[in-house]
Amino acid sequence: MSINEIQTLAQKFAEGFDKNDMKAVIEMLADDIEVIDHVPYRFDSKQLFAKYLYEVFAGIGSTSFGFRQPSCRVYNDTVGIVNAYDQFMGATKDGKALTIHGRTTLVFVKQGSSWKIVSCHFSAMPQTS
Amino acid sequence: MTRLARRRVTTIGVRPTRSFCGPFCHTRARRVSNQAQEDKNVTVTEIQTLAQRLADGYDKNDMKSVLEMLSEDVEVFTHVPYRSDGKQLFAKYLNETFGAIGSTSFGFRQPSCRVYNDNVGIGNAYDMFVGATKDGKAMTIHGRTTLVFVKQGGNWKIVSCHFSTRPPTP
Repeated sequence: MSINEIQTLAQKFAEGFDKNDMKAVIEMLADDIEVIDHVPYRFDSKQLFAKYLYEVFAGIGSTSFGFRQPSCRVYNDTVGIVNAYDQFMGATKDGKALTIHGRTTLVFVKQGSSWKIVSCHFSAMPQTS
Repeated sequence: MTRLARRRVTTIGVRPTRSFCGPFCHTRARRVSNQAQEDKNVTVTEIQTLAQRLADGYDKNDMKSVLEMLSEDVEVFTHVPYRSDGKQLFAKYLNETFGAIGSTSFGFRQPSCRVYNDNVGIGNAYDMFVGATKDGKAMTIHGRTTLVFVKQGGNWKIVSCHFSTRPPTP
């Protein structure tokens, strides 16, 4: 049951990016979330990451985002971990195409009766050597 | 009622030693208080110590001690395009990769350690690896690390690692 919950939440998270619905994404985050993303610095709160997300996605006209081979695990009924490959395709409002193949790690913690994301790590897929 | 025990200690500043919380680091616990704070900080300290042990393992090219910290079902994203699903697969990769490396130096910068519900610990940090292969090729990687620890039968084990290269400043 809990793994299904985590799978559903991971999908909901992906759909938020897919539909450029940052409000839905941000609602899933814990206030003390830490995020490592495609920028050199870490975000140490929901507020900081939300500002970044709104600014970045405001400049994007179309998006497509999805997870590939997601792995969802639950420990002790209170923590869920998702590891997946991800693909983002989109275009900025001035017509520049964007494609990012990456990897995502999400850590969910049950807070009260709700699961919240307390840690995200997004990274670009390394080059095949 | 579910207890929302959350602890975070963030160390900020240049790391002058290999210690997670060396004498020049600023360490503060947030949103915890009094006696409960002491108990909570013990657990956060455990995570800090374990994260430092992992870093020391890489620093000393001691893959045995690194592998001892991993859960059997660990999942790892690292500097290769595929995910390692399981300790055995990751161990093979680590032993092969570090078998060719002659000297290593590894450390975390600005590590942040948090504990939730007494049974999950999360470490997020910047990392730096400097080394050289046995045939003399220099290697430097500036990266980011996320470690997820889960308490299993009284012991903390790493169930998820995500290592990635730090993106260039745009």
